[in-house]
Amino acid sequence: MSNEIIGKIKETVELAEKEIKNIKNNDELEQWRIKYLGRSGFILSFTREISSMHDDLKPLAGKEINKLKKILTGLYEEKKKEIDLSYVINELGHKKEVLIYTYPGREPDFAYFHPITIITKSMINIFKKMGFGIWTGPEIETDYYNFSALNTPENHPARDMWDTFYLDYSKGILLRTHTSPIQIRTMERFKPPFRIIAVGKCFRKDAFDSSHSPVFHQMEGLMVGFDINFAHLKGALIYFLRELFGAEIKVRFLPAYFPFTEPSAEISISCVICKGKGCSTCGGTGWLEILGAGMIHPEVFKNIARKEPSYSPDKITGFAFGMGIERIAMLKYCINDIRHFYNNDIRFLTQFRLNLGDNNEILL
Amino acid sequence: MKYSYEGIKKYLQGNYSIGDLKNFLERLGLNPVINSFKNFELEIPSNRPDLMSAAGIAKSLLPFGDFQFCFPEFQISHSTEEKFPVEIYSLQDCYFYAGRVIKNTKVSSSPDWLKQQVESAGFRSINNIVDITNFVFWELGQPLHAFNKSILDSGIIVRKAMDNEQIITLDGVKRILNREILVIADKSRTVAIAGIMGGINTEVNEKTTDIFIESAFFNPFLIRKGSKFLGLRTEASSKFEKGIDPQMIIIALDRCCRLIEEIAGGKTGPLVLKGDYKKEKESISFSITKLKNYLGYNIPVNFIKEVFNKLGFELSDDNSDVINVFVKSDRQDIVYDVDLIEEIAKYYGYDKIPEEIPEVVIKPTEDDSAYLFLDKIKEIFTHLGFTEAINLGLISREEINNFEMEELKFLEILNPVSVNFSYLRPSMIIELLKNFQYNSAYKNENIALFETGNKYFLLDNIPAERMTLSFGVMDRDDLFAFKGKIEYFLKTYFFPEPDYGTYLEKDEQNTGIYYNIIVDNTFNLLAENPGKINLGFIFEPLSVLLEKYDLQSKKIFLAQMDLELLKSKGFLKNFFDHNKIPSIPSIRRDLSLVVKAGPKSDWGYIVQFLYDLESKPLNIKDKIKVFDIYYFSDKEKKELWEKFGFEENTDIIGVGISIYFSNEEGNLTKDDIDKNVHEIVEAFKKINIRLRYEQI
Repeated sequence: MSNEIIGKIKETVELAEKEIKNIKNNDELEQWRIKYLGRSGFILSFTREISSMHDDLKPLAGKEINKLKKILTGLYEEKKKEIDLSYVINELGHKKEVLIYTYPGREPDFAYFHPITIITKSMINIFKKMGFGIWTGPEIETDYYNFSALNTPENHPARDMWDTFYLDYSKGILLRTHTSPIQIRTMERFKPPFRIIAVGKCFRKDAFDSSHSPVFHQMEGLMVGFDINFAHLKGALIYFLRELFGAEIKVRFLPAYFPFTEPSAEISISCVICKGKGCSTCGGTGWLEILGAGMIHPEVFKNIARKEPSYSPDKITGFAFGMGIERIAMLKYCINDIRHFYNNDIRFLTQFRLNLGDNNEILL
Repeated sequence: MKYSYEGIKKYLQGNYSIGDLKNFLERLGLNPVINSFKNFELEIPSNRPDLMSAAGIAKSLLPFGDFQFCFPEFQISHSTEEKFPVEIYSLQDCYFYAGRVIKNTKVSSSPDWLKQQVESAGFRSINNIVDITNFVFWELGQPLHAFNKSILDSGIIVRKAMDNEQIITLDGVKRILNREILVIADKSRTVAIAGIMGGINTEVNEKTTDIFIESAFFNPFLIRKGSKFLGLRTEASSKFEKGIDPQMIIIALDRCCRLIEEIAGGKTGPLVLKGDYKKEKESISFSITKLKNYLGYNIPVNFIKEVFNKLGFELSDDNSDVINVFVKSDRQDIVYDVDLIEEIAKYYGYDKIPEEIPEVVIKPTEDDSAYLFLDKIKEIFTHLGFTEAINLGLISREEINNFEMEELKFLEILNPVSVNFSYLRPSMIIELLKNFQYNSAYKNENIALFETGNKYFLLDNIPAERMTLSFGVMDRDDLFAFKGKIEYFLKTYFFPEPDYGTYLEKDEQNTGIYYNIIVDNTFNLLAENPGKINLGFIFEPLSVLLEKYDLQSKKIFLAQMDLELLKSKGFLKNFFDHNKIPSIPSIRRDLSLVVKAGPKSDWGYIVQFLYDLESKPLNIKDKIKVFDIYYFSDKEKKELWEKFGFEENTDIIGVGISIYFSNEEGNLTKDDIDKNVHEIVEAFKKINIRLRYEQI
């Protein structure tokens, strides 16, 4: 019984191929389609035949019919294209004109933002929704703003956390190792309460290889007020991370040490590559360290209060956080070599668009 | 240092698995990683020297469960009365110095268990005595040092080194010291760099029988400074610079001596003690309400008190909101009440504190005008077809030399990471040319890049930075197309015509041609500050420079503009009322001119000349545009010199202009226009500008 059907199918294919060869226009092709693929065509009549077959034979026969259907549909579409194209050529009478319109248009002078700018803007947009202002500051800094004001006096062992480039040892002039000096400068400028994020280039004495760079970008945030607490820090940062990486990520807070915050925390998200199962990007742990944060240390407030008494640590509290922008861009765009950001190869730069791709990016 | 599960288990008894241990260490923020020898490698923060020992780690884990801290009981045999004199010359550098003599000991290689123990902790096994000092350091966190006593000349002296004093340390390196370094010496020579490394002259070896064990407390800052100066960091120096537990000095010394008696044999002498370090028992006042407000969560009081108790912190035992907490001497990181708050939050678990979005008064925080300005500039330049580049800003001396820039003002990094990144860029175009080189090497064509950032220089001997814009094209524009973009940028956003004109001033240098970008409002009668501003330059590199970058045969223009000048000028505001658009089209006439080079042939002059003509063929609403600039061939020049009676070899160029006569009233006739054009053509003759196809 099944041999019988396979034989029939073979015949049908041969016949259909023979017939379609002679077809010249759409009307004829439509007739052909009805005959083979239509409601009372071959395919459906075969399908009906199967239903009366023994159960064991049904799957094999079904497969054969699907194959047939594929062949016939292919024949149909190929012919349709052929007819459509020849039709256009005949109507216009100019073969050349049809040909030329298949060619690409002239490329305009394209231009793109750097991926660091793009990711920075999307991060800023999230903080803007929470009412943060944006601040920058000098890259050449003094020892005071980069270290001492941040509760890291000279000879403090914690200074080893930041390998620093110096321009003048005796005057303590250096290239800032983080954007935290902007936080100090902003506190000197505004009375609490306020909230800002600080962005900019930072410098650390690191080699230039696939995972290190002597120059990188940082974004830090600062919120000071009269009753800001650790739960607020968690709330603001979890909101930020979910907006940036998606609502499904998990966020983990663990203790850490920074001289300028207490309590201090290190914040990780579940790995965006392996979803927390463990892979090479997260070193098998399932977690990616993203942020350092904490409640601002009373010593930091005391340093500001010397100039602006409203910063007395008895009166105000605040939280601060910081993260590397390159790291976030590398995770978000799966970039495995930090040097790509600084070679300025046009093949790299033209892959990132401001208004596409990410759930939170807003048109300029 | 490294710790194994079994190693910790000896000091912390209780029911916990290796997985539990990893979890506890994680919750303390120590990022435990188990290496291939099943040892935990930990990241100990620099404020927690107490965690740099097995006992310290065990103590810190007590609040995680129902655990007991245990430590083996021991007793020293005191079998010799031999003492060894110790003198401290500067008490502010060595707070405390303890030691004991051990006589008739037998130095040999360590028993297997000890060898294994020190090696798994990360030390190299040397001999039983050195291994025991390292083992006790690992166990209790107090660095110890063993001297070969028979070589020591009559006593120990703790003093500052002299300038250029020398010592060969145990690693065989000759070290040259200075007055800021503390040393251990005897009467005749230096025998150790205090807290950093011992000297080879008093090394304990197989022949040694009598030893002296040192257990001390040195000034952390001095150790840190010394170790930095010498470029020599050891486990001991790294512990001393962070701070040791003064309570542990004698315990560790005795533990060490007892282990030597047990393993190597020998007779221990009485305790030698110098220094008078005493720390008052201080308390921190701790408010439970503040903890609640600070964390935004109410952690139960029972939990708080239990953690303090298990950490061995004594509490004033009243039930009020504010309690006095007496912190143990090894916890030098706890100074403020917020440190105690962190301690509680840590053991409670940061993850168990529920998050909350802060409720705030809507008080908008203003943005930095510099950020907003740069953001807008970036937007404009991408619209102009330039892709944004970001460069490090760190370059080599060679790169500066390539451009032959003015000396003196460069900023050099005193401790660079490599010669390639040893200077801060004095100009933003240097790296842009490097970007073109990179792109060209990969056959990327038709490139336009811009960058915003800082250039750096020395100003009155002080390092300074200045917000700057650079941009450039490779195989895209000719000079006039490039200049056109600059003019569009300036007149659209900063310097509107006709109040301002912009022009270039050519300045040829060895490496390329600079065209200074000048904005000029000298002719604007209403200007408050009439004058010329130099905003930056266009740079056209010559082949001598291009060859160095493998860019010969590339058509490159680079430009740099001062953004601080532009920012102080500020973006133009949209007008309150826009200009009415005429409903009647203007009338256009094109003229093909031959312009003879001379003092009266620059474009600004010509335009002014036309508007100033007495018969007013042009009024202020009429517009003139250049649609073509044409360089004549030699043959054409010859014909034109002859035609207009110009001297031979006069420099002439062809300029095509369109004049748009505004016709707002709609009453201009063809005759009016012809008359105006005729007047213009006649006036042009006076300044040696002629119609190319003029009938003579």
